[in-house]
Amino acid sequence: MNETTFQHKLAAHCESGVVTSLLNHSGVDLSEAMVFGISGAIFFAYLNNPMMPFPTIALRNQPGKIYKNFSKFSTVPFQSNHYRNVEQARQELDNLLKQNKPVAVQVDFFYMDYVPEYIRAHFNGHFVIVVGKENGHYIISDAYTPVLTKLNESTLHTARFAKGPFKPKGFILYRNAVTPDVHWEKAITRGIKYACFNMLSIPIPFLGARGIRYFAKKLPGWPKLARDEEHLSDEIMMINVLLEERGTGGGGFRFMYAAFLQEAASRLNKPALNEIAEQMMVNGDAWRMISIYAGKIGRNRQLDDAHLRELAVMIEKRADVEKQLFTDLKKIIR
Amino acid sequence: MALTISDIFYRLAFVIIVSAVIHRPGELSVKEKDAQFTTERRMIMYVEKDNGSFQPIETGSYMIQNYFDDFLEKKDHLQKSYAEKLRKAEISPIEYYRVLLNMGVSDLAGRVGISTRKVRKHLLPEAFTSIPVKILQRYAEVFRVPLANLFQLIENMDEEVIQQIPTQNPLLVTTRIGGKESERNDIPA
Repeated sequence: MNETTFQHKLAAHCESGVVTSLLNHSGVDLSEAMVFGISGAIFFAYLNNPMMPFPTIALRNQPGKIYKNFSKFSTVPFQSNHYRNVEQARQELDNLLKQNKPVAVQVDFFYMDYVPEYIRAHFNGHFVIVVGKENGHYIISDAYTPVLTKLNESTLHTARFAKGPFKPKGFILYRNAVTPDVHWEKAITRGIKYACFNMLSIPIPFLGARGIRYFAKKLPGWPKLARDEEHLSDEIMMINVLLEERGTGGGGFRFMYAAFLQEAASRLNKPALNEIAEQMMVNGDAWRMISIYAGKIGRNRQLDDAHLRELAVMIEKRADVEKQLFTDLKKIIR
Repeated sequence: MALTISDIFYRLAFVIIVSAVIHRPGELSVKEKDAQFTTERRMIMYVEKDNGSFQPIETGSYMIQNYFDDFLEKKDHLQKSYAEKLRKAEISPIEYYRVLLNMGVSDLAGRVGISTRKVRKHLLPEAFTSIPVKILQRYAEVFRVPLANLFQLIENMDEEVIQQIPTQNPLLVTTRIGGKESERNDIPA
């Protein structure tokens, strides 16, 4: 495939970036924030299970949900497939590339050799677009790199068939069909309702707005879980990384969601959504303050109970604010 | 939990003080002008533009700009302390790589394709010697190191170029020391 026909763009998040790029390439003009919002991806979860070496937080729903929900809520069709056989997966990818189709694939981030080694980690929920192949290398459009990049053929297939949680099973995603007339207003409404349900109504204490409060409650207990002071410092600073650096667009996706609400306000002609968008931006800014504070106390090794409790108070405040924000949003969109 | 007036006052005062102390202009803020970082790593951040709209901009990494030295220092300390534990036979090489790659035991078990109980056992040095080579190979694949590296630590004192080149024999790796960085081979996974 001639990769020059594909327009590579940096994106805030890999999965929403991939879906946006595939849509844009097929002539659907939509922003990443809209894709993120329509798919109802905003979320909060405090995760502590044996899969993880240390408790962590998630700011969006599980990998793979963005394209699924987007397609479901907007009725824009995508073609997707999983494979058991590596050779078959390789052949189908190559065939699609020969037809000049950009193909999104799910991979283990650890094998993305073009990113600096210090950020590589085993995580099976990363998405990239393969736009071409030359001399034993695939040409990759990764939302986290400013330009198109290359990856060894065998490395890509290893990454596509990595084992462990969220294993990709050779997953591919591409677009064939002509886009039908989409009722964007309906899609936006469904996406917002889905997000409100996830943030307010899941009766599990570590998910949604309840999850934020749960996080605040658990945080002062982290020193007991850490190997030593440096490990604790690393994990506290990871809060900053998760909120700002790991493909969130800043403020733990809250800024991107505010941008979506602002756009939704004009599409739905509901000025009240603009007010929520502004409050969401202020909320994102408060999450950013939390991340800065976490970075500072981590760096200065101020990891005593008093500092952790201060951080917990800041986080707990977000639980109250987000509960109110999504309750108001639900009322507006009803 | 009922909050007393003093609790509410304390929390409000705290938030106001923290806002004033840590949210200085030019640091990291929702405004476009305050979210400009010049690191090599680029990323997209959503900010408030001067016209009030919320838009994405390309910027650098706040963490890398401010805390990268601390991150590298901690990583180096961790590597050294776990290498020491490995030398003293307090841990197995499986535990060494697991900790350096920050992997959970269940995650590692799922990737290697064995039970969590077995992996826990393999983290101990006394159990390491009885792991079948086939399983060791699978561990090495997950850690993305040659199998030989589960039996050795390579210390590069003179900052030589070290390449570990796979051979057709899956148990054997050629370790080449010296040469130029530009001559480094692309080593597939």
